[in-house]
Amino acid sequence: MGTIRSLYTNNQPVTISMDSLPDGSTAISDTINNSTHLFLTADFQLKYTTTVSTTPLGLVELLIIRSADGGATFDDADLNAESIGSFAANEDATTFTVSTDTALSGQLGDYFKVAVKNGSGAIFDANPANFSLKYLGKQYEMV
Amino acid sequence: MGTRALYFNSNVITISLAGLANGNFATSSAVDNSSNLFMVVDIQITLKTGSGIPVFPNRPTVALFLLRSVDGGITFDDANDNAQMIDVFQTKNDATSYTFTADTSNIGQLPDFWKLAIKNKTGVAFDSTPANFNVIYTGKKLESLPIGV
Repeated sequence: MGTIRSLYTNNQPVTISMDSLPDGSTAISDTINNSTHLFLTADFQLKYTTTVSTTPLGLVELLIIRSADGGATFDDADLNAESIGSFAANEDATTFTVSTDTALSGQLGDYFKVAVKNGSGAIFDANPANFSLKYLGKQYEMV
Repeated sequence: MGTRALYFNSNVITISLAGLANGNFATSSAVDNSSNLFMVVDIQITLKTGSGIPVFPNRPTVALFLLRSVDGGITFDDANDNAQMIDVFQTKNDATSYTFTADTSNIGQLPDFWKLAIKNKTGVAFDSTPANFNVIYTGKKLESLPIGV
């Protein structure tokens, strides 16, 4: 008999370039290799900064791009990619810090990417320091 | 082998709700889940509305949000309408105490550090007496059982 509890691995970096991303465009991360960590789900935390002329209904979307062949082939980062989070970007020149749990999209694959779509209505801020994407990997353990 | 629920009651969340203005968020102190390792929790809120809540067709409510950290409690989500909503509760009567509970299961496994944000959408400020407010939670894990238990 044992207790099943959470197991966390903090502060996992994601390599992605979001500064100066044009409105309507998508930035795609480098491949995230989950074949050794074997996280079941993850919390992704995204920081982004708008410029002027965002729209009242502007959104930033976080997408998951899956592979089913060990990281050789990935989904297209287009309208068919699965959204794992949709966040308001309706204020000019503002930094937002938001997060989402991938659990609602099922168990993570062994290789995946994430993508950020700028739907704010304006180009993103140009300073790389105003953007970040990192995640907390989550598992269970029995003790 | 079977599995059953395991509960840890009456954990306190530190948050200041008394007098919270309409439309504003209150944000709790950080909840350190790095040693408890609860997978999900039930959050129970007791609060008292203020006087002068607008009548129908207004929909006075109180909304609960989870603010995550993914870096061990250094950076948390912003407390605004982008935050992950846990639940919304109706609070339609003036100067009335309400107690309600939300399960975090619908937003996934909790991280090791998180905060709770509460938005007053009742139309008026909350009651001003701190004793009329309380936020606690029950942590939940699972327990595996040997065959036959």
